[in-house]
Amino acid sequence: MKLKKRVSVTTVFAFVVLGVVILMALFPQLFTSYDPTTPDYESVLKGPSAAHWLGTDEVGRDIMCRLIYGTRNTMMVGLGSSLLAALIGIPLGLIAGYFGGLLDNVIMRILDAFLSFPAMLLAILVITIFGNSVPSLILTIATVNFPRFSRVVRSNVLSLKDREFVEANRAFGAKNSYILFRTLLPNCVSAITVQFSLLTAVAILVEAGLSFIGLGIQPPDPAWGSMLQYSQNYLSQASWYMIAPTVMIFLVVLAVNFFGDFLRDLFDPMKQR
Amino acid sequence: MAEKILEIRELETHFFSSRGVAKAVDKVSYSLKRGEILGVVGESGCGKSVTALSVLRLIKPPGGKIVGGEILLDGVDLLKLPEREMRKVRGNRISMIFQEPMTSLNPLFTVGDQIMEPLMQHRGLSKKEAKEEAVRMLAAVGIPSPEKRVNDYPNSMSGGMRQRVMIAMALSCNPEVLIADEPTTALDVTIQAQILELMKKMRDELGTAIIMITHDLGVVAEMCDRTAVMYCGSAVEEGPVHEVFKAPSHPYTRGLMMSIPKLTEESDRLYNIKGSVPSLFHLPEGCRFADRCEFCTEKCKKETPPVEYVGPNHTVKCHHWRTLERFSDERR
Amino acid sequence: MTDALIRVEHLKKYFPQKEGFQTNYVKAVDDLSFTIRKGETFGLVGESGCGKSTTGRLLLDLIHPTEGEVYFEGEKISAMKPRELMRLRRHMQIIFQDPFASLNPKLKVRRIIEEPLRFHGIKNRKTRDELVRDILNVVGLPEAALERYPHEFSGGQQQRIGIARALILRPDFIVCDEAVSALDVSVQAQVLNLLSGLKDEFRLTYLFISHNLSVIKHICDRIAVMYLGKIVEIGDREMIFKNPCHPYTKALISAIPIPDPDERRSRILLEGDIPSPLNPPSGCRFHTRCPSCKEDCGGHEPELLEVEPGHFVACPYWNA
Repeated sequence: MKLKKRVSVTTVFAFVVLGVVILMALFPQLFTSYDPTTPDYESVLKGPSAAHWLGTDEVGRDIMCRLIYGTRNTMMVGLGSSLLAALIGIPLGLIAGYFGGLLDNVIMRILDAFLSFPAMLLAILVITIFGNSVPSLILTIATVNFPRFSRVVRSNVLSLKDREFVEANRAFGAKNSYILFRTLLPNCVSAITVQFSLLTAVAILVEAGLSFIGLGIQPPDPAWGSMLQYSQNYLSQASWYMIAPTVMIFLVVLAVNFFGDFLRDLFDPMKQR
Repeated sequence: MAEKILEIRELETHFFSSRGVAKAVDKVSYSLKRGEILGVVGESGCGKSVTALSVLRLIKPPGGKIVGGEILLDGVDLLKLPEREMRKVRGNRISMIFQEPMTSLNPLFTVGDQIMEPLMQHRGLSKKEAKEEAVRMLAAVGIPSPEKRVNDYPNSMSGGMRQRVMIAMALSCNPEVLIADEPTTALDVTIQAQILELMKKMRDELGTAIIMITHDLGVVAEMCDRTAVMYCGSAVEEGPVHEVFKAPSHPYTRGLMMSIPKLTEESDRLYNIKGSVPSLFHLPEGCRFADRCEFCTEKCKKETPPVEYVGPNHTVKCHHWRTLERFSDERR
Repeated sequence: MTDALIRVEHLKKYFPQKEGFQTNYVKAVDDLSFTIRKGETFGLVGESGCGKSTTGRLLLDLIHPTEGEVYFEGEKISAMKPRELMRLRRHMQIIFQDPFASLNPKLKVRRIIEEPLRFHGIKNRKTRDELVRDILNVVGLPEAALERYPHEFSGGQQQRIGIARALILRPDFIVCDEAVSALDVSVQAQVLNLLSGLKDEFRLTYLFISHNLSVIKHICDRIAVMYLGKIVEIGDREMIFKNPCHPYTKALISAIPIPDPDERRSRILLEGDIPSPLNPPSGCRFHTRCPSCKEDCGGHEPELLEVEPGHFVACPYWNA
């Protein structure tokens, strides 16, 4: 396949941000010499300085260091839960949308039940059973989010399934599995990527909410969401505290979004010219 | 029939995109006399609709821009008018109806409201007067029980009814020119017949000159006094319907005429114009039809044919129109 | 009767429409019976909502009839097992109205054309490749087309891709559902010529569905005129066009604009709109718009009467 692509600014941005983030997640020690968990009561809530570029937190830990060490947990929860949610949600949406009727109704009502289930209650449940760990966080958030994938995919399929090329598939004798995964799924890609980047952001924030009530990443382990959460307590004394995690979450969400655009264009023959 | 009410001279409308410049309308000239129906025919992408939108200055920057020419409405160049004056022209002196009566009516307002709107804006009628006028217009376009229908929403009407409403709207301010862009393409044949009949009747009663944009040569033959044939952004032939249909002077016109299946004739194979319409981004040098033309010579590939007069009202852009004339003489 | 390829008996298709607690039925196709003979081009003509496209899909078993039967070479389609139905699909294909919409935009032309081969278990890559190249040649597309995507082609070329896909399994019967309606005049002529050529070359039988009477007249041997789910007139092409008997057929023919300024005809202008198939008029469905409607037309449904051998009309007053 000949790929003549003009690399756009957004694509470069996505690759740079995600590249750095992946490096930070894999080798945090390369980026900082501090330890993320050792308190230093000499310098509590200090503003940005040469020693601490982004300042220190309520127990004197370097914020930049915690940000870097928090990358791995944050990204595992964010991307992991979205991946799991996509894996469960997409096939359900395809099936519900394509077959319609009773099956559609049953699937969608079950999904509604999942959507209306309070995330906190679910988190407590999962964590009591599986213990407090990153995998149980992923499972919890994915359980709450997967119906969103199903809904997006289903609505796409509903408009696609009466299109003539799907009917053509049937007229020429295609099996249902072929229509679902080879014809309908590729035509849903752009909606899926948008949803994926959105839910990644949501997952990072849900993790923050969970750590607030002690169900998220356990302190002293760092994570962006929980940092954002704690920083709110010191808004008046140390307003810079919240900026760093906010900016990082924002950049990552944006990068995932742009990466999604890049993927969509890659799979969209009309954009290749 | 008297003087020209609308005259388009060497109009050029271009579209700019990352792929280059598309000359959607390239030096197109045609004119419309008072009370006349002019049929503009051509295949999709030939620029017939863009020309019409240019007349109303509805081409949106940054994509599209009118880059040259003149559009004279009763002697005044519309392209030189300030936007405020132009707004008084739209819907008032020149109005337009579109192909899709579904999408060109606002589903959230009653049809009465939508007809009243231009009446109050352009003619300064009060709400009550405008409503009476709206009912009168609906009756004039043949909508049964107009007093009731005036309060209906567009989605409770059929396609044919909606197109009647569009015509009522377009004619409510008694415009001098009505531009109808494929007004019957989305309608069924028996409904199309009704709408065409209605448009003729309105022309006879109100004296509105009509530009009828269509791809259907049958519609042109039945409705129009004169016709302009467009190909690839250029008006290749213009003249009285009878002359153009009976003795086409441009090979493209001739090809079009011969390639439609006819109800009145028997044939096993249809004549077909070879090849396909070139992209507006990569137009050939010289005559744009050269690659597909059976009369093409070296000259055609180099020189753009000038406008030549076949008759007093009949122009053509072809180096070889005289050869064609001999052809059609033989056919007769 | 000569060999019937397709026989349709009392075919009905009602689509349920729920409104509140009530369920109404759109009678899209209401009691059709006709046969399509081997090797002919059978035309279905009518305006929107007359059920012509539904009929085409019923014949291909893309939707299932509410009542009635379709027979393919004497075999009842509704009684077929999935495997037999699969075999049947090799023999019946369809060409759609909108060439672009009927091609998956994400796939290359090669893949689109060979899809039917994959569905029917032709696994050998080389065989598939040869078949694809052959058929591409037949429909007049260059080989370079294979590696490109549908949107890179013009409407006419896209329709050629659709035709190639329909032909690759070498079917006996093709439904052309408004196959040239979306095309420009000059391209329409090319595709119509291609279709007639292919018919002779591959000994095809066509069901040609269109609202365009001129096209129907050009290509069809026999024609059925439909109005609101019913056949109102059926017969050979000459019978329908030289001697139309049903008032609707007459009106339909007279409503077509003729591209000849000398041709001035007295036109039969029908009143009003086409009624909704949700609540079709009682009795003769055309009686609400019929210019020669009699008092009892709304009372009873007219049967198809044979007015000359092979020419049937659903109007008791056809020669009044």
